[in-house]
Amino acid sequence: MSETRFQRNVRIRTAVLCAAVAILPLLVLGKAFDLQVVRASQLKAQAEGQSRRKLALTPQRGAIYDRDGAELAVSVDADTIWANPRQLRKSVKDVGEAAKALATLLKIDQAALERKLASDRFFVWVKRRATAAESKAAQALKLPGISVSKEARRYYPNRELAAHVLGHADVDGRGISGVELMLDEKLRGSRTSAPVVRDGRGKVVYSEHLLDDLTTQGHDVSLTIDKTLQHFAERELELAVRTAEARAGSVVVVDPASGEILALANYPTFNLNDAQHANDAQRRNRAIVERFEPGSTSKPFVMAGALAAGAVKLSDSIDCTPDSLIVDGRAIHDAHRFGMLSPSEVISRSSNIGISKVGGALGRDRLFGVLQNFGFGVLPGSGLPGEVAGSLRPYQRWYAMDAATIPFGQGMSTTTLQLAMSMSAFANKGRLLEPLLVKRVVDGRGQTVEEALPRVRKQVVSERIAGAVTDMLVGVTTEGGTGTEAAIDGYLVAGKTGTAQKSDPEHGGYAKDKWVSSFAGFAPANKPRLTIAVVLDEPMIAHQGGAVAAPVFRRLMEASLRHLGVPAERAQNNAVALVRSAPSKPEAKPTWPLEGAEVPLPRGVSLAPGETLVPNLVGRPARLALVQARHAMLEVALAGSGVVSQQQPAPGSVVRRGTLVSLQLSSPMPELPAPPLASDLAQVIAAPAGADAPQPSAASSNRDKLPVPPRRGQDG
Amino acid sequence: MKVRFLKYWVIVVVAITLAFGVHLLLLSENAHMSYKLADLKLQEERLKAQRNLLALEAATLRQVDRVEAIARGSFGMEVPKPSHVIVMGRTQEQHASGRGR
Repeated sequence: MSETRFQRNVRIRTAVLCAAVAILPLLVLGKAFDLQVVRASQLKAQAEGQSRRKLALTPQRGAIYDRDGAELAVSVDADTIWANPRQLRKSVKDVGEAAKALATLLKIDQAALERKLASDRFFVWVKRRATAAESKAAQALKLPGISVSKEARRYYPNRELAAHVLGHADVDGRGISGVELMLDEKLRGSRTSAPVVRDGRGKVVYSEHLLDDLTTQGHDVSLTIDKTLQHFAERELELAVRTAEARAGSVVVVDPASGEILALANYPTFNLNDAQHANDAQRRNRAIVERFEPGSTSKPFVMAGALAAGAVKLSDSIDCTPDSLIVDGRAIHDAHRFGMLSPSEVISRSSNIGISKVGGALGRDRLFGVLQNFGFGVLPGSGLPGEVAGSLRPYQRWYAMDAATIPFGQGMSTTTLQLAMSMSAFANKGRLLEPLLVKRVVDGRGQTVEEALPRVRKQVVSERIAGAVTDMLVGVTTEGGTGTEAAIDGYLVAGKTGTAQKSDPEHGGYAKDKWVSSFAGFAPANKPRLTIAVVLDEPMIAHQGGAVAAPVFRRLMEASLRHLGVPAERAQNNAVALVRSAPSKPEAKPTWPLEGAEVPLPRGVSLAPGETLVPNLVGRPARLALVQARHAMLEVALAGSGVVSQQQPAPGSVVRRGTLVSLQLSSPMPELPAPPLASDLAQVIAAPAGADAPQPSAASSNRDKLPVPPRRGQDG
Repeated sequence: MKVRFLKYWVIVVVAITLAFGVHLLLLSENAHMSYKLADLKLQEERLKAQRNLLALEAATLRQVDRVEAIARGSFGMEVPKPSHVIVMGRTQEQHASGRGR
């Protein structure tokens, strides 16, 4: 059977089709091979040249926080208005009119703007960091060549707070002063550019670098500053400078255990958001750049050195009988005629003659050595720009008069920070620490890159000597001392007053009517939490440190200890006593249900020694519950706020004394009466709860006996 | 033999076509994801800027003197006197340094 013509044609066509189907993919594959392999690199480069662009990554300046994470300096995006003068001139006929409209809207100089718009450039600033309203109004003008873009702006939400510590950054985000300058490199981040892919419309399509731009961001910095203590320091300092009509003042608050600077305040001060309008006096960081003669505040350091060297013993008597001590033909006086004084009295009464004799017994070389060891004449090392060391000339260059006056702080100089750090050495068992200002530095990814730890500079004196001098310093703030104005009810305060004449650069010697008044001390003296140094420059109303600077110390220390939750010594021992001592109205009746005040023992149940009965605290406000629990010798854990809604263990349970009672508080019901007055609390706790319960009356009478030092004093 | 060849050939061609299609699909998906990433990045930046603004606003509202003024003025609060302080034994040990939080 022979093949028909039709069949042959079909076969041929099929073969051709098959050949075509076989060859076409080969051609496609061949072309693909050419594009993907042979000319791949050339084509890739060509494509990248068309679509890839370099994008400048402007890092955001890192924020500055206080020790508890409160923002002190932050950067936010603000609108910046700029112009392309060439484009503007091309599109707008009357450039002068446009400049006038813009200048009026943005409240800028019209002539200056006209000059800018007349330039031959492609880019000029019109107004940087404009307000949202201004940028909106500028855009509404719809002027060709006028554009708005985003630019970071530095804000200081607390305005004047810690102005000298923070410093400020300029319009380009560069640190000018303070921490902003000190850590500028870290805060600023790294300015880099990243290759990005853009589509035909110029839109960024993708860049792995953009996804990882956190690495270029500026680091965040946490300071050791406590925002609240800083506020207290600034408030009290301003009040003191104004009250005493002083020229200026500075305060430094330090944690003596770690050397952390908790507050550093100067007055006059300035608003960081308006730094360009501050004058030099306002910008001056006096606490670290201004030297002053410490006056009597240097006496404890000399005494410590003398005690350590064995030049003076605690049991010695120093003859301060004469009216004056003649050295090199000049007289050194005391404020009063003291007679024979113990070393402790030399400090508490601030005898110049006494400490001069102690310094003489110590000898020049050892006097110089001990003062230097305490940090005088040495840079404190906070790292803040402009920080200076006080001056303490080498003892070989001292005149006889220097050797006699340096023990009471004339003829040498220090700074407020240095004085605070030196005084902290007594509070820190004789160890001198370096001041810490930066607690932590965290990078853009949130990882800590730097963490500051306390650094001991030197063990200046032994713990025993430090303790002995601390006792002397406590004497300063108790009756008969020069710093009784610094005494705080309920706390033991150790400190020293200082009053120094200022040198007169015009006439030589000392000015008769210019003084620097200071007070440096710490509290509580037996477990120091804070060291505070207060310096007032040229106070007019009074000039003694005990009268001018000590009250600032007291108010600031009192507020700071309260803020830190440091209980008063006597309160710590017996809180009940404090509650009982609260002013009460004798005729006031309890307004709170008191049925749970005393839980009757269930029948057949007796308390073994060391056991107590859990009172019913449900429905009581936290304060009342705390008092009752304490009265029953129980510890309390509170959760929530309001009145007690649940308690564990249950009321009536017999438990060991000191057992933890968990109280859940919730919002009080509307029908509940108002919380009780202090007098009601007193009545509640007055009810006997057990034979071994503390006797409020005894505690109260103890408190009544506590000495309250008079608030009068005079510095030597 | 021819039929067998044709069968294999068709399979190969279909496979290549499918691979090409998948390749195109992946390219398109890649471009789509890139746009999405870029948009998300932009959104992230906007949110960050917004967060910074809110943080600034919150910090301004938390100014110590402002809080103090409101506490004293609007709520009639006052600084607690020692008689208002009740010491809780265990809490004292919790904050050896810094405030108890």
